Amino acid sequence: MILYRVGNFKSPLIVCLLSLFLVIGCATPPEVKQLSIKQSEYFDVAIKAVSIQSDALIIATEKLIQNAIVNIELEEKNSKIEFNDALLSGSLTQDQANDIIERISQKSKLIKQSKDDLTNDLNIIKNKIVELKLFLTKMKEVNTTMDAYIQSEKAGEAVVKDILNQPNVKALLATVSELTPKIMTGVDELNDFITNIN
Amino acid sequence: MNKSELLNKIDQLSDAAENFEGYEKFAAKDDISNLKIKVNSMITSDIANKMSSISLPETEDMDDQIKLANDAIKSNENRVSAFNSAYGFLKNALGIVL
Repeated sequence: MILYRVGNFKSPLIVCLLSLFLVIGCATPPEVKQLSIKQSEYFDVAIKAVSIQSDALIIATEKLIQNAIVNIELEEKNSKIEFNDALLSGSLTQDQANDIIERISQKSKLIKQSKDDLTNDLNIIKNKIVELKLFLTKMKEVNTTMDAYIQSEKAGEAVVKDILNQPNVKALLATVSELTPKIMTGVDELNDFITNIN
Repeated sequence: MNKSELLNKIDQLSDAAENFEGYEKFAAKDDISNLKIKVNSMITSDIANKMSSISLPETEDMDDQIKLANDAIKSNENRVSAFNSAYGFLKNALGIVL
């Protein structure tokens, strides 16, 4: 095992390797972890808010449609009276009588088409609301996935924990400045060592 | 025709119809009635159009992205485990107390 043969070169090599580990890994700040958790809560709030707003939109739309249908049916009722009066008036020409029959048919088609259009609009609105709710749920899933990564122990976090257990930061900084030249010689020694192995 | 064009046409016809008589008046009033029905049928069209204009990403794409990330996190966790084991071994082997 190479490491056991380090012997005299132990200190600088240790420092060299550990510095490498330190550089590779950085722990996620706890504040970021906390924000990630909060984000999940914020998404829940957004999902609820959109749901309530969507319900309000559907209620408003249905009211508009109800009013429209009342108006349409009023027109239908009045038209029937007018058509009747005209047909029974006895003063129609043949052309006029034909025209009335055509109008009755047209009106009936128009009323049906109008009611269909209103139902169609309501369905478009409802479908889009379903899509929107699903999208928000997916966004929350995305956040949960990212949160799993943020919360998990990242490479090097163990190293940082060790280092943070130092009695004080000053000592740590002193150690670093002390070690830096050793690291450089350590690298040279490491190179020599590797050459010697070969 | 849009809603405001229809409403204008209704007003024009109503004005004109006042001056008609007999069958002509009846026909004009029927036309007006049809226009009113049409206007009512369009009452929700701008809301529907606005909702239709919302453009959302495909949920399949989002699912794919989520899966890729979850898989990557799993492999990373394995790497982190391996890394931490290696680090622990290193500490022991070298007898370090940081």
